[in-house]
Amino acid sequence: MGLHDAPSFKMLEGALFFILRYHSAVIAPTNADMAEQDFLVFTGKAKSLTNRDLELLSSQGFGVWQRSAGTQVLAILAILDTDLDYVELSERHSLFPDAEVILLEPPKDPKLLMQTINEIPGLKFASFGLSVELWISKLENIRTEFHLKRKQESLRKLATQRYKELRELNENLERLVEERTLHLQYSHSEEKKKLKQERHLVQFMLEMQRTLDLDEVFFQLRKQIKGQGAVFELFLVHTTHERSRLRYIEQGRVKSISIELQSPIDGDYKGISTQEQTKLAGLLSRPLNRILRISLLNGIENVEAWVEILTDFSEDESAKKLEEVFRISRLVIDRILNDESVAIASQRWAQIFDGLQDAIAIVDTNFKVVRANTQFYKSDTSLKCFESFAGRSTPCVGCPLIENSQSQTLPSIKTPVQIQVAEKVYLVHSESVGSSRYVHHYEDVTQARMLYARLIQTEKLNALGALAGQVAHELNNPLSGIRNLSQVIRSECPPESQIHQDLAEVEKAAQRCQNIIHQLLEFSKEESPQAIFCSLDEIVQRTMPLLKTAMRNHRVHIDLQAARTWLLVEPQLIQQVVFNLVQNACQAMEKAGQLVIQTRIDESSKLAEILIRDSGPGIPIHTQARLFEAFFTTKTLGQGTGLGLYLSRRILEKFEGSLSFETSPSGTTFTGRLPLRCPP
Amino acid sequence: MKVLIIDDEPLIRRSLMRAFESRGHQVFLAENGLTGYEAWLRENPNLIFLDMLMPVLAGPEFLQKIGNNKNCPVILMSAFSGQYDHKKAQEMGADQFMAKPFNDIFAVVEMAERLEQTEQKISSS
Repeated sequence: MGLHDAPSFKMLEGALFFILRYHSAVIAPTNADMAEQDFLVFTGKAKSLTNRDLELLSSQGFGVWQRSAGTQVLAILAILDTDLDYVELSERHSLFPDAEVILLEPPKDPKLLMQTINEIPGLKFASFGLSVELWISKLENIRTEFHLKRKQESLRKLATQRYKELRELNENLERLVEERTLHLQYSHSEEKKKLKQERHLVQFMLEMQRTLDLDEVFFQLRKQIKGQGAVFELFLVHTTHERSRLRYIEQGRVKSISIELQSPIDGDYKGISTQEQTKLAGLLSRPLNRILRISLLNGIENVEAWVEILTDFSEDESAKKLEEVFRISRLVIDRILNDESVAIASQRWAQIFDGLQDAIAIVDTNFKVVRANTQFYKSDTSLKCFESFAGRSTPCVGCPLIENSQSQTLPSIKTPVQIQVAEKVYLVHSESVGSSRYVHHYEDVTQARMLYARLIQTEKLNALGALAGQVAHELNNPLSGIRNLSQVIRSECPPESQIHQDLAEVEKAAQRCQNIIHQLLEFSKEESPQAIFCSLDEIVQRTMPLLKTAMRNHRVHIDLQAARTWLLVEPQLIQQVVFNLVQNACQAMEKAGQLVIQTRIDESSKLAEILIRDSGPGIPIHTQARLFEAFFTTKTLGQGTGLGLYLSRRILEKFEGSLSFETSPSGTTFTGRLPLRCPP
Repeated sequence: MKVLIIDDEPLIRRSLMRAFESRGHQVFLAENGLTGYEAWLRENPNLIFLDMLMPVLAGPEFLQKIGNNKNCPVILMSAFSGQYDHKKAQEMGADQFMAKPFNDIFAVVEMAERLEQTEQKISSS
């Protein structure tokens, strides 16, 4: 139905018309159609509408609605006839102050008109006729305008809101960016700081690696941590063998003093005793802050870092910060002290190795000397072992390297082999180490061999001595018989006869035999424990008278200086020695010469000495070597048994003494020595 | 006088015998203490030369055997001059000690004669 078809709409007197916009938010729609519809509400006289009217309105898109709470009124169309109408109008207007008020017809009462104009601003007059079309189009306009305004309004609101949102977003973004930037800056600076710290630490590590002793360690450690945060000063305390030394810096140099042993650190951190505190304060000439003790090495040797902390800082915090530095320090200190003990051990080994009496050498299979001690070396170290040690150009005879290399295998322990180097005899113990090295231990057995040979000899001689005694005794009888029988036969012969002469010779020979036997028997008597404490001077003095005859031709000078000293000997045997030596001396001097008999004491070696010097021509060299041999004599046959010096030496040796001589063309001196004894 | 020589060494026996016989004495020989004892019983000598070391019966044992029946001087002989001397000889029951070897056999004979004469004088007085 178009406007044209619209029936005429009769205006009722005093009718108020409302145009409402149904507001979906306020009233729950019963159906969706009602949501966007505009409604007219008739009040007053216009309340009762015909169905036709309703239809008409509905065809124009206006609904009729009975309730009015919370809805938007666009326009109030009013026809004012009475004051009551006005009252209703103003009531509605106050309810909907934004609605346009349109008077469809001005009130006839001018006073009412004036009142209405005054009270309601923006009052509009509808100067249109009663034509429904015009009226509806006007309403249309109002509605359109209203909607437009509303749209504008909502758009504006939206715009504002969007703008606000945008602004907010922008602000947020800016804030985020700022935050981010700050954060980045912060982390960057943090990174830088951390990096710097790491670099610092690495440098510290490098320096510490280069340190060679505790002084340097202390110096570097202190450099690293002093001034950092809480650390005011650093000391290093080193304890070994119950002694403690404290290191400190004075004028840029590391110094140390000895301090009392501190009690061990309990837990991890502990302070120092007050007396130590005072002592330190005195040493530094300034008061001391708190001392934080941190253990760096704990074992046979102890090392502690004593960190002097400023009072504001907490102990735990400070200790934590320094933990990395101390960790590095611990490793380094351990290394240094280990190095030290290794160096000491190595030195000791070298000392022992070089101090060994026996020569030791490590050689390879080419006889090249790899390492040897000082005892081994006589010359250049690059020479082969036989060159350097034995002075040979070829390997020594019996060299274990040769012996054992021929055996195809490398047994670890070989039988020791004897080699001879110059006049020395060595027993070479060879042991293999590794695959091509041998350790040679050259045991000087010269002495041992000599002693052994001597021992065999002595035992032989002892056995012989014992045997000799027996033999001598056995011989005595027949000899005596021979001699005596010769005497008897001689007595029955004429003195000038050959037989007489012959028998004389026989007797002399027998006599000689008996002399030898007698001497032998004298010496090899059974062990008569007749050694007594006696004085050498006394023995000499007692022997002198026996030698009167022998000494009569010579100038004798006697100097006895061994008085008040004692020997433990068999005096008769010593007498025999003195007798023998003096006799020899006298016999050495063909013409009258000088004989000196001297006794004296050697305090340092606790020996008594007897010296018998003659002024004879001396002993020729080839004789000297055989001087003490048994049965060796330079005298003519029958003059000497050749046993004198042999027995003299044996006698002195029996009492732990010795016999030696010095000789020159101007004379010979025999020196007998005997140990001094103390009688109980 | 009658001399009994008890010694295991033949040369000693012979030399002593020859020496004594050349001076006109009568000599009896024995080579050990046992035969010597028998000889002593049988011959009743005026003087006995007794050696120390002998097989079968040695010198000291011989003296023990004679014991108090000793009726003549006994001269003890030994090569070990150190261990035995006059005192020891007399302790054993002998009269004298002589060390072997004898330097001069005739001096021994003379000494024996003197001893026997002294003994005779004592026993006769």
